[in-house]
Amino acid sequence: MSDRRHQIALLHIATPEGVTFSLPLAGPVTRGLAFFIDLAVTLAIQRVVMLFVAVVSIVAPDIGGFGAIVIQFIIFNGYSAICEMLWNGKTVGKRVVGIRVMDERGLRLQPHQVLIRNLVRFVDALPIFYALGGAVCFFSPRCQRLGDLAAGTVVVRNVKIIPPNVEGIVGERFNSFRQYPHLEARLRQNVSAEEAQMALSALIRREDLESESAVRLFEIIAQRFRSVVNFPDEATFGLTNEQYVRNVMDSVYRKAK
Amino acid sequence: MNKERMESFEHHKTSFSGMLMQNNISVSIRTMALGLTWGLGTALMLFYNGVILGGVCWDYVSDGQTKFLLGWLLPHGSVEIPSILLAGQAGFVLARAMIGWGTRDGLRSRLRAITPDLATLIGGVAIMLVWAGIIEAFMSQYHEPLLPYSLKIAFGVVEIIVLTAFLQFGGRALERKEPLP
Repeated sequence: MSDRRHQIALLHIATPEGVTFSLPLAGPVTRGLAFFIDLAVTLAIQRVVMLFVAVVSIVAPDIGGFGAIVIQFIIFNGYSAICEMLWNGKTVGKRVVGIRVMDERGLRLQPHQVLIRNLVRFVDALPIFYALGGAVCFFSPRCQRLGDLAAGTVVVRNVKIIPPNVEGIVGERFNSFRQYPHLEARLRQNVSAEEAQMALSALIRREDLESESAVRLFEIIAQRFRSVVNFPDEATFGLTNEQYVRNVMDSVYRKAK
Repeated sequence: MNKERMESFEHHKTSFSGMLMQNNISVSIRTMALGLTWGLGTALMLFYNGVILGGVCWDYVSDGQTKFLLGWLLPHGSVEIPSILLAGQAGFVLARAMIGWGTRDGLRSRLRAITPDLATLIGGVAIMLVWAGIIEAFMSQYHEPLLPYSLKIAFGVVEIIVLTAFLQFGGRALERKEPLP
């Protein structure tokens, strides 16, 4: 299982801004699981609705019969499409399993895409038990079934991003860098994620370090950040290397107000 | 139809129309979806439906009951048959994108370009079939002397004209606003 984790297919999306990001794709098994949950949900909905229809049928059997046929048709054909349209690409099953439908180019998911991917489902289910769709999904580089291919959608796993608690580490102290938003912006742009992560770890372990090695460590890190962006003397006057790193971290990780 | 069955039908018109809608819309969706088989499935679907309908029609026509047949089928058929043809069109639009005739775009771009059209086509087909279902249950099954055949045929012909006009002229204003390619 752990071996398999390294082989998880990724969807790479390159934005016009030159940023590339990757999302883990959902495989046939995960999607099958979501499908079975959705099947149970649709059957439950159908049961409940049919109770109401049965009540109507006592008064007006013909209208009740019409309702039974049309409502069941809508439930079984439209459940996924309606959920995915209203719920940002998720059905109940997908939500439980932790996956969602998205546009394969990372654009906003359009209602017509959701409609087509669900109407084409019929072909994916051929000849029995989603054999065709499952096979296509298994061999597709983006784990797409035919419906996804036709609609230009993919199913991805939700990635939980836990932002670092920077306020707790850096503290709400005065940061002289904040007076230079353009330099802060350059800092955010040019400091790599690894560098920022390392500097943050150094601040977290500040108390565990020998004072001498701490001084040396923060000197190296501050030196690195100074080479990235040069703040004017007014901003850096009297700052120790450690305070300098704290300020940089505040500038990089601070949430936009 | 004998009298007893006619009476039982009287009480099930609404559910009958629901059945027709459900069945016809399902067939249309399948016809479109089968475009993914490079159009083979769509062609088979259209062929099969055409043969069945043609066979029934020939049976009546060869028996000299053309007027009855037209009166029976035209009120709903003039909407129902074009809608299955439109579903077939949607299927072939999809098939063409799968095959990729006359373009250098990749498969994904080709499919992306037609998805909105597919949704428009199948949505329109569904609306037409709801109408056809209502007409088939509430009008087509009534014959002379209750409803004269000439009236039913005229109704069907008007439907064809309106539908043709809509398909011919609908969406023109929208098209003009878009910049030329």
